[in-house]
Amino acid sequence: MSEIRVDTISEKTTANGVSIDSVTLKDGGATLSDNLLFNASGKGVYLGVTSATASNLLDDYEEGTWTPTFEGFTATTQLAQYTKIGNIVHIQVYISSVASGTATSAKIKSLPYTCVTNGWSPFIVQGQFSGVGFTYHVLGRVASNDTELTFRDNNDNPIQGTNFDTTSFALMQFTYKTNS
Amino acid sequence: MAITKETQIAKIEVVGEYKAVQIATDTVIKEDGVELSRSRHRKVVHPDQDISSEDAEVQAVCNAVWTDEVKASWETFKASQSEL
Repeated sequence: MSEIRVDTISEKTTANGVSIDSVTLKDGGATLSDNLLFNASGKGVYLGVTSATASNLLDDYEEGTWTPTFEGFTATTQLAQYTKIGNIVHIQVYISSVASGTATSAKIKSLPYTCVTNGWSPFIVQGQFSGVGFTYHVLGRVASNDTELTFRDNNDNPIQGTNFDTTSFALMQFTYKTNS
Repeated sequence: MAITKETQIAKIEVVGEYKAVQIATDTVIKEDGVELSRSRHRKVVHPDQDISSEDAEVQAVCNAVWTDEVKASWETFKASQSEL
């Protein structure tokens, strides 16, 4: 027999609930003893609502690494990780051996997801810089519709590759929105 | 007992007006064919980038969606952003 059809299955012992393999149904709730896995991609969970509302659907989570590329300066990547929750991307980056570069806007490129249109995301960068007003902290900004960020001084001017102190470092963590 | 390491393209996604192509690549470690671990690496390529070193499957997607119109549109957009 491979199929049983019934209208109701009730617990035999009060407060024990009903268990099927690793799933226990009890008093309107469910307990799982393993991870929840959907059999199709792009499926998720509606949180906080009693009907299927798109704005309440959490249907994506991912964590991994990415490989930064640099424009206007050179550096060695020590850590470049991301976590995506829904449409939010959180990035952590640590670069070392930063070397002063060219007199062009300093950029880190190749972010793991494309930023949404007009989704500019400013953040603070800790590192060592020269000739930009303050030595240890400058601003960074993720570019709209793109996968790159620029460094900015306290007057919102782009920082050039020549403003990096040689043999320096930079630490960053920031969040931006993506439409993927 | 054989430990193997392989890379697999997990996702290729075309995103947005300028047809950015997002690529997720998984590194899979197996022992005697049984998966032990899997880690993900991501990158995005834009219409002005050289894709000659990308996987053939990625190149095919890029070449399909990066029409001359899309490339021109991306170039115009990038130029408009240069002063921001």
